[in-house]
Amino acid sequence: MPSKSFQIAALLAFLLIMFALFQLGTHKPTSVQRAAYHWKTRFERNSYGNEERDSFLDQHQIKKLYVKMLDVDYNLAYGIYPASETQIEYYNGDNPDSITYIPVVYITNAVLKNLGQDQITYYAQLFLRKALRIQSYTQKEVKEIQIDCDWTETTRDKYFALLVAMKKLLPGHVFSATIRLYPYKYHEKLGIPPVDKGMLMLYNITNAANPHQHNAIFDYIEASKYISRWNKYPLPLDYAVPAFSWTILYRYNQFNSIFTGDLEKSGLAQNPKLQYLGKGIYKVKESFEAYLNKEVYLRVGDVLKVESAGALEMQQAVSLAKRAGMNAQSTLAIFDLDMNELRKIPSHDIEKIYTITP
Amino acid sequence: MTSKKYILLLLSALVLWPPQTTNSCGFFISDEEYRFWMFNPNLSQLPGSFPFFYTSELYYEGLDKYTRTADPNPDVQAVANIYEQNINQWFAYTKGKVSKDAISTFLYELDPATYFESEAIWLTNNEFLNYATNHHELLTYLAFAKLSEANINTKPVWDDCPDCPNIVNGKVVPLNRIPSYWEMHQEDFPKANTTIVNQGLKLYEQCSDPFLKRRYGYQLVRLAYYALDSATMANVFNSAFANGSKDWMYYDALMYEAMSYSSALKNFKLAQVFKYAPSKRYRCVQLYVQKQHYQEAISFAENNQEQGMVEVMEAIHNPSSCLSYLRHLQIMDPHNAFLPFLWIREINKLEDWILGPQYSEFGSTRSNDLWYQDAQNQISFSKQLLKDRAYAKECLQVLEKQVGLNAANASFYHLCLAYVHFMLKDLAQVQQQLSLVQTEILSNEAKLQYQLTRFMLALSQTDSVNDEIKNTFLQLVQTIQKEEANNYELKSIRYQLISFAAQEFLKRNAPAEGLMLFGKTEKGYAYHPYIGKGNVYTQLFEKGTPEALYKVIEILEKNQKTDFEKYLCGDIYCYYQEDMLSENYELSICKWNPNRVRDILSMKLVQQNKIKAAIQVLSRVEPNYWSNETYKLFAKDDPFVVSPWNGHAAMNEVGIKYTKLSFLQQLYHLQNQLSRLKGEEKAKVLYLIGNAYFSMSYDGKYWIAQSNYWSCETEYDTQRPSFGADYFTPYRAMYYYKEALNCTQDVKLSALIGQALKGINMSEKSLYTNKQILKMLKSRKINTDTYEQLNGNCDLFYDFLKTYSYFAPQRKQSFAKNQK
Repeated sequence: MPSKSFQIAALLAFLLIMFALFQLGTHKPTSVQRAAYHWKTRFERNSYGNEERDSFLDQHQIKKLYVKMLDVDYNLAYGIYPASETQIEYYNGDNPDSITYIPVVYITNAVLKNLGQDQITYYAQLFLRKALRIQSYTQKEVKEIQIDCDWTETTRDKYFALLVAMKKLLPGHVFSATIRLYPYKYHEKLGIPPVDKGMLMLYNITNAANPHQHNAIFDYIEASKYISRWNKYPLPLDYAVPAFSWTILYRYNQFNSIFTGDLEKSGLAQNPKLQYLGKGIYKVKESFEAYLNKEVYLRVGDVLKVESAGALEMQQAVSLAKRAGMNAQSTLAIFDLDMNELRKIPSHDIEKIYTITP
Repeated sequence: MTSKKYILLLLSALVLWPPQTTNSCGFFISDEEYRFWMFNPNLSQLPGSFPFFYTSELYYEGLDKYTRTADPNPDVQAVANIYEQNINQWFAYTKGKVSKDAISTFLYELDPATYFESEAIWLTNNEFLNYATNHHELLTYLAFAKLSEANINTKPVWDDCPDCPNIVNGKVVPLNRIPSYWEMHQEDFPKANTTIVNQGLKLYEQCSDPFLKRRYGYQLVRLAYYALDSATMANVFNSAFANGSKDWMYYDALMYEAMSYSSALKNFKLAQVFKYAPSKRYRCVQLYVQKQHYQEAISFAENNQEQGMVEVMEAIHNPSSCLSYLRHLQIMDPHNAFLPFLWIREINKLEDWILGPQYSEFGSTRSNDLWYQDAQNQISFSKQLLKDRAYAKECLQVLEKQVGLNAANASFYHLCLAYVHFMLKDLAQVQQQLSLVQTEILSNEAKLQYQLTRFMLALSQTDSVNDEIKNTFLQLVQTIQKEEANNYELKSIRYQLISFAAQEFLKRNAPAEGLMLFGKTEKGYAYHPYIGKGNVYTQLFEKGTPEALYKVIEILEKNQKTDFEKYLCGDIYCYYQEDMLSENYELSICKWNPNRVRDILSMKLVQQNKIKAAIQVLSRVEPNYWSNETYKLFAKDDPFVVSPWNGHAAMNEVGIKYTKLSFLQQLYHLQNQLSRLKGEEKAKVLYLIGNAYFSMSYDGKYWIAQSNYWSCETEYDTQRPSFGADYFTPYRAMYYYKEALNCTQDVKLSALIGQALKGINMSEKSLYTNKQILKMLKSRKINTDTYEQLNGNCDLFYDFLKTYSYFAPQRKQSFAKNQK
């Protein structure tokens, strides 16, 4: 006959197992913190003109919006210059605005290369002030600022110094930085940016310049190579998944340019001067002037490749985000809030990507 | 009973239906839309002078200021000349080893950002840059020039960020308010940074090539200006440009130097730049501050020519009399290149002030008061006209002297003299001056001016318009029209010529032709009460006599037309409608509408109470004319029924539809009935006729049988010939009402007539008081109870209408019988 203590222990173990099974059986799916990126040069929030977008935000209870405020670039002629600044039109009347706005500043690597040490504080202040413009319009305190930059080994120190300078200027604010898959995996080489958290960008995986790549926006197999369940990034992370498309122009089998949007949406796909080769690839049969978010002269022999990231790619990206450690406290942001793309995705698929089951 | 209430409710709505009112908040016609001028402001063909043609506004903006017009004068060429000079200088510098195309591409087409992004490619592919790769100093300069260009011309700037909060002590300090759109988008003064200035100074010092050194100097002057570094700018300017040729680069650099000063010295230097740099002229005039520091600016002049330029700048800034400046110039620098231009400006002013009142109803642009009829203003205008004529005579004296001083340009000045004499109506002198013009040496534009002046003289010298005058006019118009393809401004001269001829033909034996000519011009020549600018149909109505209008129709319908008549009958400018119903008051190209002319003619005949003649005219109007927008409104009204309490109210109980023709036919029929009618029947008919005349009057309804448009915006003016006293007054209606009263003993009809009489106004005052009407009725032994009951009683009024208006079937039959 087993001893009394053994009996008690066995009972406790049984109860524990039963409890765990119960939890597993009854645990409801939860949602991550829902967010989206606004990546246009004009940000509008008013009582007209954006009904579809606002309805999308409401329907999916998206409460966080990362709004690009500034693009900074460099060239020899202009030096470090503002390549674009977002125009803001904001009027919400007496209606309370439940959205949290996180301004984003995008900085090219060329800026870092040409940023003098004695200029760091100056530009840090300039970029922050430009980012905080959104606060002037929404009258809502900005608590987090995000910097988006593809830094390299050689520009790492300057980038990090810039981030430190920003933090010093606004010590009470949360700073986040975008992390792409390469610096995520090779963080020993590229360093960990000195910010409070990172935003892991699960897209732009492969090089669009390569005409043979499958989908430069998102390729699950390629992306998987970067994410390991066991190799955690030493910084709290949020996650961004893609929902956009683009058209890449190859000329003489070489990358020429990228256009936002896709041929199908613009109606260009029906142009008889284009020949569809399958898998989103079109060949130009006859030269002509076209418009694809900007004017372009297409020549005979040019190849146009439409790449997109929709429901499937988003779900695949989310699965990688989970692998990387996404949980209910994480923020998951859709890149980006373009209704031309989002209306192609069924609503329940959007809900699916925001829902996680432990 | 219930249904009656509903009917009355409906009728009340109709009775109380407000008269149609225009939504116009007034009209607006700008000075340049009507300013009269025929002396070509471009006769001197001075480069860069287009914005300084005389105008009553700040700068001249062309024939149609709302449409960009091509600058007719060689300002663009002047700029191109500078480019050409520069390219030639570089071509010579490279000893012809580089093509001008390659030089031009680098200098004027290659964007700095594009260059620096693909520098290696450009160094290989552009011949000029490729050449420079073997000439180190040249390449260094070219790169610096592009950097300089980027810094000043195209650089996107970090602005002051007016909507950015500040960061102070680790905290965000929000803004008190968002700046306005204008605050946010104030044009930034481009700022070159001191780094590039210092870089340029080093290169300038090190450069051993004098050609390149001078160009470094130019770049530095420019950069230092934008960097607000006046010391560097002055030093470099003196060292690079003080001793050297005064070419385009010198004056460009001088422009920057001038802009860095203030007050008198700035004015003086701008005046010199103005002389030599056509591409900078506009900016020089903008920056020059007139009248201030005039004497001090002159004191900087080292010779008469320099002083003369200050006078020129003062004159260009002055839209009023400038004879004093012209006199000074004549003394100091009689061969000043700008004198002809300034004289043209002066003549254009005189045209505006003296000829404007003759050839445009809007007068001269001196007066912006469009209520020209104001007697008080008329006195002021007359006095001013005398002063302007006196001024013109003074100008003549100075001009005559100018001929002797500038023999090479004598023909031009004779042309000026002829024109000024024309303004003063000294036709003999016009003849004399024109005879002294050597036409063979004139430019094409001056030749045209000569022909214009000749024509003006010929027309002024004759009392009648003969075929020769018409043909000369036609030839001139066609000549100008051909030239317009190259010079859009000539269109305005063509329009003015047409206005001039139209007014002159009207005074002579060709009023019909004169009236029709108004259709050929878009320029403002006549006033319209609520559109502002009249059109040809306005003129037909305002100025046309029945005889002239018959002639217009005759010309339109003639089979064998002369060339001049064919021209008259071609396309015209008109408003689709000019009553207040239309919201589209844009002049557009139209075809003549003889129906519309007949309509206007009928109005004139009705004004003279020639109803039969009016009917004969309207009988030839095509039936579909009556379904235009204007007449659709008539279709809703019966003019034989008038509400005594609101003469404007449309009244139509049985859906009867009249056109103007059928209305006049019915009126004529009723008038013809009178001789065979007696007693009450006659009274009823007289009452209806009275109503008809009342409907047509100023206080009546929208029955424009006598006017071209409803008069609600027109000033009450019994003297106005086009409308006539019988339109502004209800005398005709009153006559018939009183006749009706004399014929009747019917208390209801008497009451109606009494109310109608009470509603009659004369000079906007009631002609009959209630008391007077009661007295009239009592004197006719008519019981006044019904009349008094009818006071303001709609129900009773409509009850009476059944008996006394169109409810009677006989009227409908008679109407149908007479309708064609």
